[in-house]
Amino acid sequence: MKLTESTINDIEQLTEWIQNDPYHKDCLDPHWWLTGNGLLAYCMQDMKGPTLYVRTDIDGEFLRLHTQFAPESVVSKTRVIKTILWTIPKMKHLACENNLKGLIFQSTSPSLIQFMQVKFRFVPTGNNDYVKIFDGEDA
Amino acid sequence: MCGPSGQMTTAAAQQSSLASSLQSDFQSRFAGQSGVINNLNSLWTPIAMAGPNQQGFGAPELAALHTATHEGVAANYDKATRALNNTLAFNGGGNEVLPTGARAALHGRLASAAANELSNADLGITEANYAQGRSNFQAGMNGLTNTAQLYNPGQFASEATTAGNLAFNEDQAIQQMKNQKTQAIASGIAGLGLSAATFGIGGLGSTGGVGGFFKGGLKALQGGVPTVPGFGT
Repeated sequence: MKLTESTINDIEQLTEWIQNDPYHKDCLDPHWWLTGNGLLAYCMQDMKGPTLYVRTDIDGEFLRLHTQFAPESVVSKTRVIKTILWTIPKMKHLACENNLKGLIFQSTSPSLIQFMQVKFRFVPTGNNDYVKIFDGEDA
Repeated sequence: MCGPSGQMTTAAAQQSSLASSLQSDFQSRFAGQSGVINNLNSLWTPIAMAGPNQQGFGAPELAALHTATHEGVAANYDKATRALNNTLAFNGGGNEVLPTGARAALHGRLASAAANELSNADLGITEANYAQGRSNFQAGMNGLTNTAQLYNPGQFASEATTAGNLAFNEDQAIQQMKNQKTQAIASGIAGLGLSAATFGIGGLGSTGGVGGFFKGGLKALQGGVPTVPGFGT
């Protein structure tokens, strides 16, 4: 598992993933996900290839996480969850390095929300936002 | 007369300069983020990072184990030494004098036995330490896999699709309004005689990364950050 730069070479794949994502379709430019944008934008890869595109931005005292998921036929569910488990601690590290007090994401997916709440102790703050404030005990 | 006017040439030069500046800025940020990515890749969960040959006991626990072992062996050695001395004194009874070398040899054998016991105990602690480390590593890796199965990430896609469909109509309406607003803004800019600038930006957009950056800026002009559904939707 590793982070890699997302570059112009990823545009074709990003375009396909966005087009297959009903929520992102027609409202996101694939260039938005390329490394160099936001606080940090990157591609997550496991042994089989890209699993997620992530972009982070500073949002007040929090690090906001944006994720472009692949179609399920391209990246399996298990690969997705393993990637998230691997990535979140690194995002905590990134947030701490930028003197931020927590992570925030927005989602309407019940299973993802439940997972993030149970596994990483995110809590809802309204507007479909979920926040995790660092308490010093997080791995 | 033909050819560009001085004003057009100046505008073109300014545009070229702006393009170079933006390109340079983006490359700089790309390089900075690449450094961060490399740093993050070097981080891992400590247990997984240490691999299967890691130690399982913490430093205080390890120190306590060694101390307890050393104290135990030392106490046994003291006891054995006293017993040996008593035996030697009893057997000698004052009438039989063992040669000095024999007494020293007996004490030496006792000390050697104690040292061996200590060494074996230390070895046992070390073995247990690494066995615990292997166990921790295995548990950590299994935990990762089990957690992945437990939460059935497969549901994400279908639920996200459902949620996405519900949100899509609303988004589409918002997008239409934004498109209208973008057109209105674009018309306004053209009306201000800055068509050369907008043409230049279009040219930048076609080169790749900067295009997205600029579109974000345009969206920000419309009253906020780009509409991003966010994480997991």
